[in-house]
Amino acid sequence: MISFLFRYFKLLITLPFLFCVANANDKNIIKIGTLLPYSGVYTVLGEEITNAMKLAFEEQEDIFDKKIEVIRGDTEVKPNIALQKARKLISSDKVDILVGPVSSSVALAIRDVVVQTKTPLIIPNAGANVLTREKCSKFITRISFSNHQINAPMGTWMANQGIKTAFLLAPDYAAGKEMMSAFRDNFEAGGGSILGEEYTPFRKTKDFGPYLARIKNSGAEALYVFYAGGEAINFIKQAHSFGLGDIMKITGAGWTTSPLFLPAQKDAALGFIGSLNYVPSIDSVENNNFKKAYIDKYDRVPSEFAVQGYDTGKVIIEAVKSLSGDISNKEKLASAINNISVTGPRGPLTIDKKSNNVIQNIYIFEVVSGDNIPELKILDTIQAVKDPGSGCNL
Amino acid sequence: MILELKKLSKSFGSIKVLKNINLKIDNNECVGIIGPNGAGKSTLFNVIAGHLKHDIGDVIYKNININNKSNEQRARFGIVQSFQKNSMFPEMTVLESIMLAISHRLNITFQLFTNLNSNIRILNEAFEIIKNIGLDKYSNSRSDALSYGLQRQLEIGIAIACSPTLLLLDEPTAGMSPLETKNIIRLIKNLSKNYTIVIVEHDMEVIYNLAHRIYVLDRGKIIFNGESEEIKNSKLVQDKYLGIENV
Amino acid sequence: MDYMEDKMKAVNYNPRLRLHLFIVLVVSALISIFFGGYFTRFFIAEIAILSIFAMSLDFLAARGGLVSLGHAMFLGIGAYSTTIFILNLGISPFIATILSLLIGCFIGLLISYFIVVLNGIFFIMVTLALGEMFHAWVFTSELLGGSDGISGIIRPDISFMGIDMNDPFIFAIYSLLWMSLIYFILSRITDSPLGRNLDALRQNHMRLSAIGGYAKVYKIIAFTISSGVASIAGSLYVQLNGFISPELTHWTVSGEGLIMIIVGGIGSISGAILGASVVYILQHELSNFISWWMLIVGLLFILVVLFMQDGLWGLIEKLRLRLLKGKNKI
Ligand SMILES: Nc1ncnc2c1ncn2[C@@H]1O[C@H](COP(=O)(O)OP(=O)(O)OP(=O)(O)O)[C@@H](O)[C@H]1O
Ligand SMILES: [Mg+2]
Repeated sequence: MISFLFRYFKLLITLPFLFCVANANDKNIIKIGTLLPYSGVYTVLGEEITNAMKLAFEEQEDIFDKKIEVIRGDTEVKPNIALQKARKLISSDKVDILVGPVSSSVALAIRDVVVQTKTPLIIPNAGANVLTREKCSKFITRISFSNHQINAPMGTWMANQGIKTAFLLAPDYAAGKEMMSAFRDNFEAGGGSILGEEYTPFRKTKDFGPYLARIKNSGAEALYVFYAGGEAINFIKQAHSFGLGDIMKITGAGWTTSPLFLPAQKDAALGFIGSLNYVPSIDSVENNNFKKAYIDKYDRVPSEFAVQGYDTGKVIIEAVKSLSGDISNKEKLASAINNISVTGPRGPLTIDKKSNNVIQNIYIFEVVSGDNIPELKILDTIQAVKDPGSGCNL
Repeated sequence: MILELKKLSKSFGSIKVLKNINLKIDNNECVGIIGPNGAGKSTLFNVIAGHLKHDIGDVIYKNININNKSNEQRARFGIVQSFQKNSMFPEMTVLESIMLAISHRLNITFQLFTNLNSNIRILNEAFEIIKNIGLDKYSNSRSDALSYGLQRQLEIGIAIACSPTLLLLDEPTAGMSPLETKNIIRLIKNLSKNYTIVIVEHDMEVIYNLAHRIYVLDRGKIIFNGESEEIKNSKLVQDKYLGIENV
Repeated sequence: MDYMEDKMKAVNYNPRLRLHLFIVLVVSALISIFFGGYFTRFFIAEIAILSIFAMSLDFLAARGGLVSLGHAMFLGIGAYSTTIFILNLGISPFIATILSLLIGCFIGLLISYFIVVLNGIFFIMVTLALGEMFHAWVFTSELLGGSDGISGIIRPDISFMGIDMNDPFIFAIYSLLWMSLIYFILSRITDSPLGRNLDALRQNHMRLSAIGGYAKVYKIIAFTISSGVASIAGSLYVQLNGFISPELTHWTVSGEGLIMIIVGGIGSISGAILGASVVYILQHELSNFISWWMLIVGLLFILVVLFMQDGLWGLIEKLRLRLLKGKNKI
């Protein structure tokens, strides 16, 4: 038996050592680990964020003689895989800063590891409110948005426009519900009332017919909706052929008619009113330069996800600069990140000291016809919107 | 009397395969059943063993009506069949198959934490049976690696390892060489000292050798019932079955 | 009576090789734990837990001949019940694991009572449907944290023994202990009269009934045991990660588990551990380099199915035979 075992050893013992090797630490390299989806349904978002962030790094000539290295960690949109990748990036690759993730469940999964290991994490997309409320941390900075932040201003704005009644429609998952409740709170505070609401099976709904009939029958003045991806495309098209826009105003969270989906939605999206933290039509030097650079490099129009990635890159650079390139102390690095204010393509950004969530402008836009594909025309800009950050004590 | 069938009928859809069968088998008898292809012999066995449910009539075993008992329950009462087509546990060795069957007789199949294959008592018993069925050289071969003839022997071995009270053998010598057939006959002859055996065969040599009494089945009906000598002299049977067979 | 029924294939029954392989795997894991860093220890713990899940699928597939595509449900049942026990009821994590084992067994028993009569593709479809229903329910349940899941789950506190479970070294050992315990229990059952009957059931259920085997009851027992084991894996998994989200209950998790046992060789138990390790390490290593790693894993899997029907176990068996022969010649 012993001799058998010995033979197996030769075969098998090498296996576990494959991943034992720890990377040497080079002082002159700033290591950025990404925890983004590079496979699975959100691949596009992962790529956009990474591309734009790299663009920001490339625009910077040099930061105190340091090079920036981006190490990709594919989350596959699976929290357990993401957690495993987070551990690898932190302990084996010894990254200085983590950037990610896209989805909230992944963010919640990696939250404790990040905090325990005191690794600064910059969130470039995940919107769950708790990330900068009950689960906030001085090591977690959100540069994108909270679900509340995007939707609440729209509630107030619509109430101010004299709209009295609305119907809510969103996919049946945590983010969908958070968005609807943010809108509802402010809409009702402004004197509006919600006549009904529907939550559709997440990423499984193909036929919106029954919901459209119910929305119509509710007699509400407006529909407030949130969808993303294929569902957003399907919903907008089906609502259009149903003629819902003739009966009531179709409004919602701006992602529903994201520039990513407009080429597919085409004229069906016309008339949609939404709110978002970025629209391509913002007329500022920063935005115009960014759009040009992005199109030059990647040959496509940047989405709001790209902008969030770009701003993440900017914030990292500014933070490293403010420390004169010495990022060895992670607590100092985290606090430097949280003290940065930059003006990016979406306008001025500062980090809320209370919760580490970004303070930013929210744009109310309408989808209007453009050259080829529809465009987002800004109707109103709500300045310096904050998330309440309740439950967070930093 | 160990088994009695009363007015038993069975049909597959609209085809009546067994028609009003009446049959009696005494303790320690060896009864032969013969009949042309498609007469319903295998079906009769399957009905007795409970593998198929019959339509009307009664199956009475040791004076108890077992119409509603399932296949496995009947097996536990001691009615065990061997199949016409080899039906074994292909990935198990001969020894493992026999030990498995013994575990049923000992009623230990619900034991979770004892080791079956290292149980000395069962092991010895299994070797005994393997010797009886003439597979001693093959005890560690996988069943699916055995030749057809050896598989037939194992088929019977599995059945007798359950220590049946009533053993139903469906064409045990089918497809065997004369030598192998001789072995099987010797084996069954030994068995018939202890068990009640019902045997289906096409080979009249085997039947005459083994059976005390013979039923002749034709198109689902029992057309004759008697000692082997009577069969040999019966004109009806000669015409219906043996004649054809000899052509 | 159709004898040509499609049945699951399993590797040769070989308790000795099973034990040898297990020892080699555990020793390799221990070496990695001792010499590896923070990440490696977590990684080993994760593999150990996945191996428990793979073993539960392996036992079910090889012993009952049942392929379940809904087994991630039991992973979820173990995980969520542990979470509730720890966070809402304040029960200690170790007891929570035991309780979730009982819950898993109980639900497995209930479900299997109704579904084990189904064969082949019907069984697969029904387990898939049940798993999906469970996933959909968890995904929208407010109590269970919905799509975002629940975080902040703690590990057993045995600091009174001077041991800190939050040390990945300790937790890796703890997971490995569970894995070994389950390996021994499942091996024991596999060698028992019941285990052999379950094996026979997979090979030829008609013949088993004909010699008096209660096919349905055996299948129910196999399913129940397997559900309980999967629940333990779920329970340990939340303690490892500190969080639970509905992704764990998705049918693809069951699918990955099946890939692991096919790669390892179905029916060998320690082959399931080997399969889980190889597939997981491969996935991890590949996804660090290339974004189309899934394609490669898929391709490798197809190759295994086509050319190595007994998986890595079969390969090891062949190698061993060759070595044995070589030795005898000398
Ligand atoms: N499951 C079934 N479904 C439908 N018909 C069947 C079935 N099994 C048997 N039969 C038919 O019932 C009749 C009797 O079959 P059975 O197998 O009992 O004959 P047999 O006497 O054993 O013949 P052989 O000597 O060829 O074995 C045949 O006509 C057969 O086609
Ligand atoms: Mg027949």
